Amino acid sequence: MKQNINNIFTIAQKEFADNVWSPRFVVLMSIFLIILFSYTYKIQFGSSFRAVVQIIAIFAPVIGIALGFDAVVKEKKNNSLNVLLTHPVFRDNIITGKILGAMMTLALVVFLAIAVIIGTSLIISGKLANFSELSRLFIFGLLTFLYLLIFLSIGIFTSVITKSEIDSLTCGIIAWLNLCVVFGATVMIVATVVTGQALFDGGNQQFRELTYNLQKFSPIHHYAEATIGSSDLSWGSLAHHETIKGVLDTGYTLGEWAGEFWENVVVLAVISMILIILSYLIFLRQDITM
Amino acid sequence: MENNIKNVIIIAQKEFADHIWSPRFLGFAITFTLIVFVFGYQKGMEVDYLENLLGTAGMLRGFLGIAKIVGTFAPLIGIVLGFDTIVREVKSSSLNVLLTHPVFRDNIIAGKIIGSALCLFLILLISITVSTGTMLTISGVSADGEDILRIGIFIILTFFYTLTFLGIGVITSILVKNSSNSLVYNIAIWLFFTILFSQIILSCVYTLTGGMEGSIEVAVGSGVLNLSPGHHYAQVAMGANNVGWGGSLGGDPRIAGIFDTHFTLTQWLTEFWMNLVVLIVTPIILLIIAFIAFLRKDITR
Repeated sequence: MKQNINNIFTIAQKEFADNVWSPRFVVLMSIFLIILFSYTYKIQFGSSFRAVVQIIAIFAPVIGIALGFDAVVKEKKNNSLNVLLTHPVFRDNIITGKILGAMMTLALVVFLAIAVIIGTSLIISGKLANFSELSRLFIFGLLTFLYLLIFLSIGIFTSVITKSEIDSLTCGIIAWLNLCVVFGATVMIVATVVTGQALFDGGNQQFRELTYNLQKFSPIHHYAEATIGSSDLSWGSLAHHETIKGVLDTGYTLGEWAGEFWENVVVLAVISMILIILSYLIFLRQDITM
Repeated sequence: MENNIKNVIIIAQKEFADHIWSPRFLGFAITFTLIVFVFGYQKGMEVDYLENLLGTAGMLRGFLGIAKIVGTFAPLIGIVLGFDTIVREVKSSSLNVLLTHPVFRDNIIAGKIIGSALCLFLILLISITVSTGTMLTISGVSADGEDILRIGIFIILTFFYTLTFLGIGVITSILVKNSSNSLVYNIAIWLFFTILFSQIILSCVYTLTGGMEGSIEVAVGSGVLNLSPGHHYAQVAMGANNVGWGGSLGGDPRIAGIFDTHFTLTQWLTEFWMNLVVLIVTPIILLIIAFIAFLRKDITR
């Protein structure tokens, strides 16, 4: 058991170091942090925090996918997986180590993102954040981690089932475009076709209800609900706003927030768990010869 | 010479067929067509509401909405067609085998670029026709011959714009060592130049001037926007300064791009000829760079 844990940590360390020093991770991370700084900086000129959350919700998943898309398939392609398995390391050690290493990198991304948000807010307002605000930002960071973990899991899942890194990345990017960027606009069209009512029609209750229900199929809905109390953040979507404006709404206690949005938090956690379990099951039974 | 042309055509045919039957390309092409269809539908409902219920002219607004979506997502098609053009052949060692035949490096890269460009044009033709057709059908507004001519010019403008990203993709595929790095870098370039560029410039202006007032004028006046292909495309297609995310940077005070039927095509050309020249010249320069880089490249793995 101890040997297994040692193996997992060694692989996780290697995966973490590989990710952090990879030029493509540095490029994506830098662009993401610059844009996050610029959106947070704009708050002093009247822009809302919603815009910051929206930029995280739409663009950060690319980093999650980039961290996971070649985790397994890269090792299969260059035959290092075969060599690795001739040592006393089991398949479950390898995939656990790889997932753990990628999760550590993701935690670093979220930590840096929150540090940029807090740092920029401090610079522009000059006020020190109190414990309540910091604890809410910490929960916001946890929610962001869970949300990005879904895309990391999609990346790992596609890296297990595909034959090349490019196919894996392609699947990940198509999933990102459909689930995060245009999902809201797509479900509106589906709702229009099904109900026969449109956005601009008067008395379009059925259309609004169906749109809201269909939005639940995307992770961005659950992230948006839990963080800012809005039903969608994707491009061109119809958003329904809740009474509690998410975890950062200090008008309500954290208990009230949890009572209202616990389902969304559970869904965020469960989707990635299902994908990771599927990746495990497939990888453990897979023929790894190329 | 005749033999060279034959070689180029054969390689272009092979490249075109490879793309058209590749699940990866089909995945992106279907996603792109779905995106422009969805937004075409949405804009159609908006135009219908404006024209038939409010009694105001909404056609231009509908076309501008489609142009914004196409301008944002069409570069992805260029990237997908270009990102592994050369690196794939180098990695699989097929380039070495190919060069043992009487085929020269310039034949290979010319054939590959022509094949990809043809494929690009086909996809743009289908997807833009689908989106504008959907918008016109849903809104119930009829288009006359001039509107169709302007849609045709819009397709050609979009082709040159996406050809820029195809050029960037081909150059990246020559410079990097593996396909997945090439795709990630290209996605980063797309995010930076197309979606976030205007926002980043605005933030720099806020930070340097310490205020929001007049920041758009400073951002536009600085000329930095000219570095982005998206700016020139936005000018000719929408009369706007940016296609990107996070708000508008204003635009041309007179003509709202190619779809503005208040002005003739000659007036449009007079107003935007410089942007048009940049839009056409940029991909040509990038493709020349790709040629030069490939002709001098060490193709051993």
